[in-house]
Amino acid sequence: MTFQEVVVAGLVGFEWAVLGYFFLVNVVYGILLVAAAAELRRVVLRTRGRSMERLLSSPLVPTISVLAPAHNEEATVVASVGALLSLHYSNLEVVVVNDGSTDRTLEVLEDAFELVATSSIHRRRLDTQPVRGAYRSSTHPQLVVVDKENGGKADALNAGLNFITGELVCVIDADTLIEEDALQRLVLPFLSQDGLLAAGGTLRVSNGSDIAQGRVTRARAPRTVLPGIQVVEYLRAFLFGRLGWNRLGGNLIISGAFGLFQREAVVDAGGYLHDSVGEDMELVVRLRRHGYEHGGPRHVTFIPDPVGWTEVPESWRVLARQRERWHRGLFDALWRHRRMLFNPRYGAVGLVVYPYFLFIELIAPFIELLGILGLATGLLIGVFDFRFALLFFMVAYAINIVLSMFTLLLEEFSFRRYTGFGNRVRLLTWAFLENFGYRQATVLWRVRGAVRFLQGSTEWGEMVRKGFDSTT
Amino acid sequence: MIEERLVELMLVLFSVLVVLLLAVWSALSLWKSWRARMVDPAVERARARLLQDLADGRIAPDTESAVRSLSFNLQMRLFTRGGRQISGRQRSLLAELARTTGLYQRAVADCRSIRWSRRLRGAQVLTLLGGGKGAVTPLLRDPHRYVRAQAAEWAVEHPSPTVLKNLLDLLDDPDPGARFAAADAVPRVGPPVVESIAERLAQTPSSGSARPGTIRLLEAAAGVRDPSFITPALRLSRADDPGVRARAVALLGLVGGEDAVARAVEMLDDLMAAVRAAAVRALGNLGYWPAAPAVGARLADLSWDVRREAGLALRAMGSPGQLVLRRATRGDERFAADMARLTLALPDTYRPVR
Repeated sequence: MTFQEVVVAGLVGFEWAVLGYFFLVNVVYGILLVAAAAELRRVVLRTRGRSMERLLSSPLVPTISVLAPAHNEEATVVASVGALLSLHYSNLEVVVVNDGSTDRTLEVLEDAFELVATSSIHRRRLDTQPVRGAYRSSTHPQLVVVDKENGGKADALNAGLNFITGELVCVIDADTLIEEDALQRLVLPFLSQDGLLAAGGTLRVSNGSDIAQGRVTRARAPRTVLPGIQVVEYLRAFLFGRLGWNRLGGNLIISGAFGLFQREAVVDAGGYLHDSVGEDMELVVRLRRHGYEHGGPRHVTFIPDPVGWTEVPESWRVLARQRERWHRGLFDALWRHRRMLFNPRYGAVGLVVYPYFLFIELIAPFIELLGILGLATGLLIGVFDFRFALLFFMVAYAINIVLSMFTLLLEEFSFRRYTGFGNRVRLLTWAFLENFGYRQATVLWRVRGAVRFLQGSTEWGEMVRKGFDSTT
Repeated sequence: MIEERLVELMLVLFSVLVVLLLAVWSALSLWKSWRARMVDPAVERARARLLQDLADGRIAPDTESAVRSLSFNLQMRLFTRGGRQISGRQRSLLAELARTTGLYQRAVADCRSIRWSRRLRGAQVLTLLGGGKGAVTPLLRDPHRYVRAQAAEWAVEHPSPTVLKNLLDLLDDPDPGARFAAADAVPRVGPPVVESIAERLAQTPSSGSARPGTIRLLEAAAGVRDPSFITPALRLSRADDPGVRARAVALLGLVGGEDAVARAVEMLDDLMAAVRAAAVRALGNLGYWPAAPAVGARLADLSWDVRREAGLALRAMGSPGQLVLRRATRGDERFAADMARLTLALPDTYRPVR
């Protein structure tokens, strides 16, 4: 064979291998989708007609401390904290950690909640940057604000863990709005399952929705492309990805923006790591691993029903930074706990869940990028024709459209947050458009994130927020 | 060629899938739009009429017709959204309406369905409306955990001997959710369940590791807090399992009495921190100020949780407790001084998260 023939054969073979990989990936997605549909059906049947009022007054429900780290959040923190204080849950404590903000985050909290300096003595089980002071609200005695020197999100969370008193800790981002009865729903698995470490709730995109007094009063599909597509992404990730894993071995991710954890398990495992960019995912992996290694609680579940609303990036630049960071975090978490891979000691997590995250979530962007480059090269030099390119496109992207449509149908059959024909049409439109440019951009960002991890980057980047005061 | 065939097959499959999904999605959207225009307003009108009639104390024939015109699913939605905020005469009216429209009978029939979701729904409706003893009692032993848990909630208002026996059996259910539902329901039954709980407590062994049911039984007893529980609680406060001891002393702290107090003071020296913390809390609950010095000694306990409970207990004991706290701030024990300062800094309005 000539050199040219070898190159052509290699390119063709490689592209078929990429196609085969994506075919397998979509088979896995299909299994997840079926599992998610079955799980969603169970959840809907269980919660339909269920009375939540009992939990409001039951003395047997665990105590919950809501822990919200805040750094330069003056635009949204008062609304967010106000919403936290009005959550429908009887045994509730709210701890906000001001992580060395350089804006007026602490001042606006002081004004809004009439904070009074209190003793900053606390149980120091986790090392953190120094605590400058602690404040308790005179209008809402269950609100504590911890003011500390800047140390990053993980450090702020650990400082909060030293102060809280609840059996369970709900970790949320200060800019996440959670629904009034979210904690009632999120606590249910802890009442019905032994050995549960943590439970995650659904995050939805608040951009474009009506918001009043820290609550989303009406969900609307955004009218602009970037947040609109992210709505579909989030629905796919939560309604089909995480829900599917409930039936297939449990989750490895609980969003750092909205999750409920056994406090003692988190502290025993050493709290959040300072040098991890994906500290939320890393913690969950470590907690599960710790459970398997020490015979403690080891299960993590996801509940589609309690909802937290978060503002997503509306600029490509900020979105790119976010996605890079997420992929760096994924790589970091998987690398730290690589001994779990295919290790039967860790049960389904080691044999199924971890390999999925490694071979599909982590590696897929690389394969996809190489596939696109190979395809483009092949088209350029005349090795591939249009039919092959179409085949590649369908396997890689068109099935993604089908999965998104299934997800939208799952949403329609279950929670139906987006009412009105206009919202539904917009969601469908974004689901289609996602694969023409956006998807490819996320591939690049994720690859870049993985490369930066290998280069040792730990920066977070800035998130630009519009705030929740106005209806958009 | 294989590739061409594959492409054609994929194209056909994909096209069919997309068309199917679009068709389903369109049909669903159209149906929802129709429902939003035609059905939801009817439900809202029925609901508004119903709420007005309940406030007036009688159900008008028009209201009955409006409710009857809805499907059973919609009737259930209507009742479950409005029904939970009412009680007494209004609830009786609602139950009567449900019988008239056939919803009650449907719920009873659902309790006998082979599908767990139907049995669950039937139990939910009958919990709301009351009645259905013959249909729901067997559900306390249902094969499905969700149904058993719902039946436990129903049992609160139907405390016959058989129901109570089954409800207490649920405290030992293999499913944690059913155990929780039972432990939450039992105290709400009130006096009818006291004798049964006392009997079970008397039969509960104090040796060996505790069953989950023992813990839930003690929690349920704590919710009822009858003086007849003192004797078995005193016995169980000497159990091998620290979890049992802790809950037994918590029960003693709620029931009270000389013997209970004396035992709680003894348990301040228990080997397990969780038990000491429970003993401290029990004394705080009782407000037993003569124990303030003994509780004050726990401000220097090795366990943070015990120290914190000691601080809160002293705070609950009023002036004697405050005195012990202020003295501790000036003492040599650093842990005790810190905890005393932390407790004294709490505002009067503060209630511990428990």
